[in-house]
Amino acid sequence: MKLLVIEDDKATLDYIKKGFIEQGNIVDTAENGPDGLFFATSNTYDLIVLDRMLPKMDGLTLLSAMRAANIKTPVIILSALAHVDERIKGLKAGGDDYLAKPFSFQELYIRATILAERYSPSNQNIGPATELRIDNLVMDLVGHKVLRDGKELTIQPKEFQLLRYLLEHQGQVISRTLLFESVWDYHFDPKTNVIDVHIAKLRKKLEEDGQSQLIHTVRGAGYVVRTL
Amino acid sequence: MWLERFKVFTRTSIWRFTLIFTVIVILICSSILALVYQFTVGEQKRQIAQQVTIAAQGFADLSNSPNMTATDFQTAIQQRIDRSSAIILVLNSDDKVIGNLNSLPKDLAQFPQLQHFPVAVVDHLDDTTVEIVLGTRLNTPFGQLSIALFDNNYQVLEHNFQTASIVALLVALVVTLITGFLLNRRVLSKVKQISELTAHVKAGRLKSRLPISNKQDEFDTIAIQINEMLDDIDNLIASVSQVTDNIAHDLRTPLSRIRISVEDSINNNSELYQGELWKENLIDEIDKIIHTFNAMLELSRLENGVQHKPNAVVNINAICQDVFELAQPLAEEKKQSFNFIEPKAIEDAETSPQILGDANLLFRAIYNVVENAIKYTQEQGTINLQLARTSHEIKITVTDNGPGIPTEQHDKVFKRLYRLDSSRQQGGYGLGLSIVKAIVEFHGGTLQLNSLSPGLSLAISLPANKQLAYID
Repeated sequence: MKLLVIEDDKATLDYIKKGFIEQGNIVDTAENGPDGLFFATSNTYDLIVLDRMLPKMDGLTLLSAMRAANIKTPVIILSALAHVDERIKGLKAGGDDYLAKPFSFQELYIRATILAERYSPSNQNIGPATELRIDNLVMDLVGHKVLRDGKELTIQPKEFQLLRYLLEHQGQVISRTLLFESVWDYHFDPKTNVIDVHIAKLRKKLEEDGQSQLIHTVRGAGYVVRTL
Repeated sequence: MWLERFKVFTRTSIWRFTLIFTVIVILICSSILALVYQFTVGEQKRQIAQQVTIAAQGFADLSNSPNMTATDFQTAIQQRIDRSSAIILVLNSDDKVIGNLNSLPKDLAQFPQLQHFPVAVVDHLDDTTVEIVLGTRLNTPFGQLSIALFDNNYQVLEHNFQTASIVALLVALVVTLITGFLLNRRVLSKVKQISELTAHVKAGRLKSRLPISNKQDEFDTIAIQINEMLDDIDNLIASVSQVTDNIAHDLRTPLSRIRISVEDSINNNSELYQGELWKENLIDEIDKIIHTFNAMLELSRLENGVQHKPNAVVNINAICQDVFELAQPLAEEKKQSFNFIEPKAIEDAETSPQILGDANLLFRAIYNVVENAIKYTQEQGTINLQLARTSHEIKITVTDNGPGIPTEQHDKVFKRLYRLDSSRQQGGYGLGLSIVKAIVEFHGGTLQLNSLSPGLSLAISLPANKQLAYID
C-alpha cells in the first residue's frame, strides 16, 4: 500500500518509514503541516499517519482541512496526548484511529493494515458476511454457532466476539490492546495478562479433541489466526 | 517617615469613608441647628419685630384718628412711657422733643422697615451699658415718632445658640474623625498582619499563620480561611514530596534494571543476550515506566478537574457485566468463585441504575477493584461483585475473603503510590486505588473500605440520577 507519514520528529519519522518499507509499502513523508496538507491533497494514498503536534500547522487543523477538501483517506493520529478526551478530539476532527506515543511499530502496523483494508475499494461492495471459515472451523454469524469439524462448541458471547474479530482478520497479527478495544469497546490499557487468559480459554475450546492450533501467539506483538 | 506613614494612612478606603462620613454628619448637624434656630431664636426675632410693628401701627392709627390734637398725642406717648420701660418712644415735634431717649439716629429706617441700633442705658448704679434695640421711624402729623423695643433676649439667645452650635459641630467633627482614625488603625493593623504573613509565605516560611481573636468578626473569618488554605498547601507540599520519593523509587527501579541489562549486553557476550527475549523484557520494563507515568498524569487530571465533567448517560449494570466477563477467566485461573450479584427487577426503568458519567473511567475503576480482589485473594477464595440501588445512590460492592487490609491502614491505601509493605514484592503500580478514588470522586461518589473476617469489602457509592431513570 501507499502511505503518507506526516511527523516532525526525524527519528520517529525514519523509524516509521523504515518499518513500512520493510513490509513492502511505498512511503511518502512530510515534516510539517503545510507540506503534509500539500501531499495529502495532491496525491492518492491508502493511509495517512499524522502526528498531532506539527510545526506551522497543527495536525488536527490539517486533518479538518483535508476532510473539508473531501479527502476520505483513512488517518491514524499519533500523539503524545494520550488521554481519552484528546482521543475523542482527534476522532471528531476526522481521524479513524488514535495511537498514543510512545507506541510500538507493530501496533501501528497492525492498525494501519486493518484500516487500509477496511477502506480499500475492493472491500467496499462486499455485503456483511454470514459465515467465517478457516481450516475445519465454521463460524455461523447468523445462528451464533461455532463448529469445529462439524461439532458445535460451547462458546460464550465475548469469546464469540474475540474469535470473530480474529477470523475477520485472518493472517493478520492483532495486538492485545486492539483486541480489547474492538471486543470490549473501552479505551484503556488493562495492562495485565487478562486478554491472554481469554485467548487461552478460547484456544483450549478450539483445540479440543486434538484439533490443530489456529490461534498463534506472536511474541511481542499479539495474536494471529492461521492454519499450520 | 511621618509623612510616608500619613500617606499610607490616608490612602485607605476606611479613611476616605471617614472623611465622607464626617462631611455628612456636619451637614446633618448644621441643618438640624438651622431648623432649631428657626423655631427658637428666629421666632423670638419675629415676635419682637411684630411687637415693634404693632406698636408703630398703633401710634400711626392714633395720630391719624380724628379729633386728635398734638397735646393729646404727646400725652398718650408720655403715658405709654410711664407704663413700660421696655419701650423707647421719641417724638420729634416742631417745638420740642418728648420721650425716654435723648438722641436718635438721624437715618433710622422709615416704617414699615425696621432697623437695629445701639443705645446707651444707664442703670440704677449709674453704669452705662450699650444695648441693641429694634426700631422704626414713623411720620405723624405731630412730628417724627421713633419707636424701638429692647432686643436683649434675642441677642443673648443668638449668641448662646452660636456658641452651642460651634461646640456641637466641633464635637461631631472630633468624634467622627477619632472613630474613623481608630477604625482605620485597626483595619490597617489587620491588613498589615495579612501582608506580613503573605511576605513570610512568599519567603518560604509556610508554617506562619495569622492570629485569630475571639471576636469572630470578618477579619477572623478571613484569617481562618487563609490559615486553612495554608494548611492545605502545607499538606499538599508534604504529600508531593512523599509522592516524589515514591515516584523516584517506582521509576528508578525499572530504569536501573534497563540500564544494567543494556550495559551488561555491551560488556558481556553471553548467550543470555543472543535471542530476542532480553529485548522483549526491556520493552516490558519501559512499558511499565510509561504506564506508571500515564497513570500519574491521569490522576492529576482527574484530581484537578481538568477533564470535562461526565455528561453521558451510562448504564452501570452493563459496565459491571462487562467487568465481570473480562475478569472471570482471571478468577477461573485461580479456581476462585467469582459472582456477579445484580439488583432484582432490573427491567424496571425506575430501578435501572443509570448515572451521568464516563463509561471508560467507571469501567476502569470497577475493573481495577475487581482485579485487585482477584490478585490478592488466595486460590479457591470467593469474590463477589454486587450492584445495588437505593433511592439516592448506586452502590457497587466488591467483597473477598482474602487477607484483607489492616483497619489502621485503610486511609493510606488510597494515597498515591502507597503500597502495603506486605504487597511490595507482588509488583503493581501503587496507583490503582488512588485512581479508583479519583474516578469515583470525579463522579461525585464516595469509596468505603470495610474489614471482614476474613477479607475485605470495598464499596463504591455513586449518586443516582432520579430524573434519568425515566429517560428510557
